[in-house]
Amino acid sequence: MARLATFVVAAVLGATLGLIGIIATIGQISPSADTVANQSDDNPAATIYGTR
Amino acid sequence: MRLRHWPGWPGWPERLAAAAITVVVLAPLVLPGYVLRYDMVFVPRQPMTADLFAPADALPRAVPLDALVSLANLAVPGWALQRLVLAAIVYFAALGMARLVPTQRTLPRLVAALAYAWTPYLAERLLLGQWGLLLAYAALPWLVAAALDLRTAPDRPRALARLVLAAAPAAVTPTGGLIALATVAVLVPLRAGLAAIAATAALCAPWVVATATSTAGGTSDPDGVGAFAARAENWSGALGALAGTGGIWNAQTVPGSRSSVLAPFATALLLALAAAGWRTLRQRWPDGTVRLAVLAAGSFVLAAASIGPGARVMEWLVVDIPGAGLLRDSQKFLIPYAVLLAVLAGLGAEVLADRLAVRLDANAGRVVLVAALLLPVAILPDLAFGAAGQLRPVRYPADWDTVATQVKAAPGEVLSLPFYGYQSYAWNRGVIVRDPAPRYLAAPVLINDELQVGPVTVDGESPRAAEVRRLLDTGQPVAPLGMRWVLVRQESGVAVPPAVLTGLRPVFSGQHLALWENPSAAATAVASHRRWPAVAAHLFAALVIVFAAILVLRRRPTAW
Repeated sequence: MARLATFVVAAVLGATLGLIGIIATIGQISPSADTVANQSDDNPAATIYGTR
Repeated sequence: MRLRHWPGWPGWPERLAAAAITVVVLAPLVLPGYVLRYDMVFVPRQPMTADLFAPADALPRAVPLDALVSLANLAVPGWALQRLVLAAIVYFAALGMARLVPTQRTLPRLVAALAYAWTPYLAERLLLGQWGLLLAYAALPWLVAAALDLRTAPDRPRALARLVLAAAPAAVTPTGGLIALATVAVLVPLRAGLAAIAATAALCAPWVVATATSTAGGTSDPDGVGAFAARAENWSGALGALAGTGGIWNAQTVPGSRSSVLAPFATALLLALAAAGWRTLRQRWPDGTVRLAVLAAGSFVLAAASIGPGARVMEWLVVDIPGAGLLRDSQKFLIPYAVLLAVLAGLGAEVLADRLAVRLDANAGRVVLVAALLLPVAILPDLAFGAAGQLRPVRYPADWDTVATQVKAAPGEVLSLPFYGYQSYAWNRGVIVRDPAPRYLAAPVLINDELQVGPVTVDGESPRAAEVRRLLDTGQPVAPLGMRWVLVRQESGVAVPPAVLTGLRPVFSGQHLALWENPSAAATAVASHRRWPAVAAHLFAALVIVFAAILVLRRRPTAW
């Protein structure tokens, strides 16, 4: 029983981390990134310090 | 269980983990060349000029950092120095955190190490090239340990010396110095802390004296408060970004993963883990936890001060209080919060693992610890391999050496055109970087100290730079300004109006740079009397560090 529970814990945590990792890896194309892109200039002029 | 604050050097697992994190984060630096990004400029051999000790008409943002780089450059070439410094930052941040966590178990220490050395803060400041600030980031776990140890250590003078040595890397920039000073002031009780505060303040003497003797105005443009305020990275807003140690002002230096829709949930997981560790930390550091929490809360409030209603107060401060401009990029003060978060995350993972081990079996506990270990990497996978390839070394074109040789043969003030403080060179793959000329050339170099943040222009402090801007805006020749040399960048798409160079004599024209000499150059007036106090302050701080090092080393050998 304890082994099964440990397997379930490992599967849940592994799946959670995997999901976070995969979504984070493709973070640039997530809907949330679109929200940020609305506020930011992704193609700044060549000589400016940065953009918000 | 109550553990001593100064647990000694960590074991091999912690050292190997710190080394592995360092290798994974900085992997592209095995390639030859220099990583040039925003504020990170290393050159083959940075000359020792007076301006590095005390900038004549600019605020000393890199004092004494620049002087230390020039000094180190006497023995170590720039490319090696850059790798040593960046590797030391990541390695000692991880190792310092691993040894700070009050536990005798290895895995919780490693959880804390990852939670501190694999953070949005480190990634974003690394991408902005602020390695001087990251020295403070790496030093803070060591400083916290030294400060907590000071009250219980049997050998007080030696404990104080250790604290000085831990604070020294932080104090190489004004921001790091302030963070170190606040850390010592909050963590060490007043009756025991006066000497510690005085010693840490002594380390800050170089930039304090350089500020006092500079002709640059001490106040700053209020537009900088909004331009450099903490920024939202995803739907959780600026406060959500700060809670995960992110939120840097510059959208161009944020890893893509920070905009992930799940990033706030992952941050919430980390915070939940930290909450689980609170009670245990209070048990193990009964006299230090609340103080560290106060310090962390203060750093979070300061980091968030530029957003919302706090912005008005901040604007008033930077306009009316000399030196308060240091506070405008307030997210950088988040370091103590990151320290507390990592310590609590390590202990929280330990607590959860213990509970599961009791209810299920020991393996379930280990699974939780391994999952907690991997959580920071899952949140921020694109910190690996030089932030997904963004930290790639490049080589300086040979033109730079040619120009440096010519200027060295006849030193005099250099004007760098086009007049932008930050440039995007084709040979640097278009990455924005601060003009390398002031560090490459053995002469004072005039560059624009205005900062362009999106559509906002944040005014600089240098009166001489303002004079150049006025002249260039009207298209007049720069020769009457009296500089000895004019360095002109030559790349496609970059043009300096010919009228501006009227009256100058071309002496070199390469593929990337051209050098013009001004026949009517005036002798550069060096206000050396302004610089001597700053040089003396550097020597004083160096003496404090040497004295502390002798004190630590001359006693019996210990774990530290």
